Amino acid sequence: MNEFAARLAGPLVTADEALAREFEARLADSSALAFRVAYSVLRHRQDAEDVAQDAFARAHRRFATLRDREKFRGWLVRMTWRLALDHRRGERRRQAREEVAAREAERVGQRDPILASERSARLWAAIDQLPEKLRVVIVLAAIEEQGVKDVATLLDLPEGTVKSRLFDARKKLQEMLR
Amino acid sequence: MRPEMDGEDLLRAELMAVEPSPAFADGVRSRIQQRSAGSLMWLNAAAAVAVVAVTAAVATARRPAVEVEQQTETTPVVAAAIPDVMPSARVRAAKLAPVRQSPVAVARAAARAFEVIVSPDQAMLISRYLAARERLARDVEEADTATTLVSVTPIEVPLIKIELLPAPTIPNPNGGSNK
Repeated sequence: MNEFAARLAGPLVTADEALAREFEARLADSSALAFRVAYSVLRHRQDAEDVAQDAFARAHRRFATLRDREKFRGWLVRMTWRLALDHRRGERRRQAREEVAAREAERVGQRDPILASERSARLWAAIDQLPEKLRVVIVLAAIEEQGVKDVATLLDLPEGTVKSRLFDARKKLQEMLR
Repeated sequence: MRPEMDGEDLLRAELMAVEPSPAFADGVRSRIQQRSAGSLMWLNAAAAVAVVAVTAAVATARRPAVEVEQQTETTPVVAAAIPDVMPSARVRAAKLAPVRQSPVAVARAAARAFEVIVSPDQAMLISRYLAARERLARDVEEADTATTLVSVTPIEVPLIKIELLPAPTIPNPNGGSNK
């Protein structure tokens, strides 16, 4: 009986372990990508981490259907982007609380050095003015220097669409920063 | 802003300068565990609700159904004609098709004011019956209050003396004597 149970349970445990190992590999592989996507929307390290972690936790539930690396990364990027946008929309409700936290951070001198610079402020202001379709394309192209094909795979869009959007985004960004 | 860097380069530099914290992966793992625990809790709660619902359904099905009379229309005059002398003697006047109702509905109906609805001829009979019963009750009450013990005096009846007379003789037309 024990042998039969062991034979039956063996492959199941192995399958679970294999799935867990794959997920750990995806986590190590894509955590920076998800974090940077969230950061490009939120410009706040802690919020970006929260959103990226939430996206990974959601991805874990569907990981059996998302085992393919490229599918997983694309799904993760889109989910992170949507969650980050939702999070930013909800920011107004938490504005008072965050202002208190920002004042506290400023007081102890832990203010984000990137946001502190005028150059960054101008850049992100310009990025925020871009339409969402152009913004996500240029952000993904900037992260890890991904090409048009990679961005098209991540966004599940035709390469031609990505190429034209990227062109428009670069042009508008240059105009705004000029 | 440095003029030699275009917007995209700058964006790339900005984004590549940020990294997730070393505790990022641990945070993901703890979130996954929380989600698993949460979904387990929801499953348990759903199972508990299902058990309670099934138990309640079985208990309701086993409980005997309560028959409630269905109300019919009647005229206010007839309804008013019924004297309200015996509230406890509510009459089931009309035998109608029974309706199954939940115990809650029956309790609500019992809490409301009760109305007896009968057909006009039955109402007349009932009113006569109740009036007669009231009269009878009144008479019995009056009789009870009026009854006093009367001293009984013996009545003397004088003896009557009866004398037997001799039978009359009737002449026989054929001759001879007729006794």
